[in-house]
Amino acid sequence: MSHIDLSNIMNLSALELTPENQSKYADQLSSILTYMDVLKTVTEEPKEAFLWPIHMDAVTREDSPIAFQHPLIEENAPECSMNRFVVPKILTDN
Amino acid sequence: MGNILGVAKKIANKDCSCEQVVRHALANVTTDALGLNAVVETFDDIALETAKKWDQHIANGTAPAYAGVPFLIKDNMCLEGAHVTCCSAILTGYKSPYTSTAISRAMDAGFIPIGRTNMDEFAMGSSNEHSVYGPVSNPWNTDYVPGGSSGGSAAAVAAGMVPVTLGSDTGGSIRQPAAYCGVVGMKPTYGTVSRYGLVAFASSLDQIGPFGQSVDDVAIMLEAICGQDPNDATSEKLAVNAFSQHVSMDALSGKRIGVANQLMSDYVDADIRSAVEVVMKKMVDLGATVDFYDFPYIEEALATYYILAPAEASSNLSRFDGVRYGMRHMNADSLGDMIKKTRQHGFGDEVKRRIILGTYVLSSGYYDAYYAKAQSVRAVVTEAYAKLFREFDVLCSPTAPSTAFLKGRHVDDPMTMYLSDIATIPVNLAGLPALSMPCSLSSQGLPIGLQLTGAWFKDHDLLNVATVLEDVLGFTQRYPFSVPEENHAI
Repeated sequence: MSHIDLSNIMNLSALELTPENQSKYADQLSSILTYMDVLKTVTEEPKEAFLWPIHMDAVTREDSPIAFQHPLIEENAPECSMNRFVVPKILTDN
Repeated sequence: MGNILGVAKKIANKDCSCEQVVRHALANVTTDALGLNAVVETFDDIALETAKKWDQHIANGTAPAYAGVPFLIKDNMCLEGAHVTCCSAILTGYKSPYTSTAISRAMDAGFIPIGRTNMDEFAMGSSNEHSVYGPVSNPWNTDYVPGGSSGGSAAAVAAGMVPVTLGSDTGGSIRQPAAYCGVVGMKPTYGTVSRYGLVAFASSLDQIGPFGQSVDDVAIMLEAICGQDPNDATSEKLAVNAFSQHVSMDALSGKRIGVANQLMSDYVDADIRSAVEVVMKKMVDLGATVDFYDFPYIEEALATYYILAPAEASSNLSRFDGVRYGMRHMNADSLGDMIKKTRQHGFGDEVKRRIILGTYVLSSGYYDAYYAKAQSVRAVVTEAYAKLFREFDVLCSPTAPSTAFLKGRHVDDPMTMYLSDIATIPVNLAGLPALSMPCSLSSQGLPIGLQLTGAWFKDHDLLNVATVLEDVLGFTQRYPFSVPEENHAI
């Protein structure tokens, strides 16, 4: 996995890695992805009529929103004001 | 007797109170005589308040069957008012505003949650060495790992802290630590137990299940927690099965048992293969037929899992961003910067590794080659099992290719760590029920686990077979849960 690819994946997954970790992760992930090549040997396709043996009769409830209030919602928040979660600004000057 | 029925009977007969039993269990946990680090926090207030409530019901004759029996929950299950952190820094301080369905049902049956157990962070690991609270030790030899990710739950039961615990299993995280710690652990058929209130790792694979020192204890707890739940659309519309009832000691007579050649190869330790061969002979003595079969997709199943599970995890863990709960990195220039820094500092190495892998296999240009291909292979593996269960009633194998390993041995080698789940992972892909039970000890004195896998929704048959085998194998637990001394003053 090239350094450029790793940067793209870092961006997509909203993660940052220190430069020393990037190399270590890239090596480990390359090794894991090499193992995944074993899937190329499976040429068999599932039968069209294949049915998952579970979820034949899924449980559902009425599709309507249910209000949920609890004091812990605000207590758990890093920063909360007037029933809203306070976060840093989205746009920067850069 | 320190098992569920024994404890419940002592309480019901007023030989001891719920409060005494709970205090005794809390003392076991707090003392941690073996230095296991299996439990990260006790819920003293919740536990003692519940115990006093059940003591009143017992006095009135209105208590449920298992009133007062203490249990522990894995740190990825929500209990209202209690911390739940998935043993991750990113959820430091988080308290759940609701209770998971499984815990709620266990409590309705009288069980009392007394604390949360250590685990691999976000259930990603096979050794319980990836936890913000530090590693867990194996009660059989504290230089060794207990397995993972439900290492704390397995170790706590093995050490006799409580009679029963709950864990979760996505790729073997109940069965493998059960094997390493010499206890019984079961992953039921997918959909049997509601996942509402279980912090999601891989939603199409996760299942909650019990640990106990006996098959009966596992069956009783499973009975308490199973059933459809309108809060979980993947839960099945099943009649609640009396898993602990109608046990037939003739359960193996006429049963067709299958053993995969690939799971009895040289890759598996010789001690383990010998132990499983002994079990196979006993099964034949009990009237079963035992035959070998080829399961050609063992390695492919492992690869499939390590594409699909991280892919689902990368989506499920995107909610941990420092916005609404948990840790937030304060030194950030913008929202985007805050989210990245929070996740960098909040997640451990293994979690980051799996998120990166999952994001990669879902990304443009790689989706078809990895994720779509893995979904196709998952269906092929499931079809292979469907075919096997036309020929066999129960599949038998070692739970893991080795017994517990030394701490630190594989922590920097993720691929070797992943390979320790080679026998358990295919079961999760297909959603089948499976359990691990101890069958003997290795030459180093470490427990050897036997995995039994049943057909979809044949959890009761599986438990039946396990009960008979348990009786015949006669494995002795080292640290049974002890009930407090009788209190004649009650």
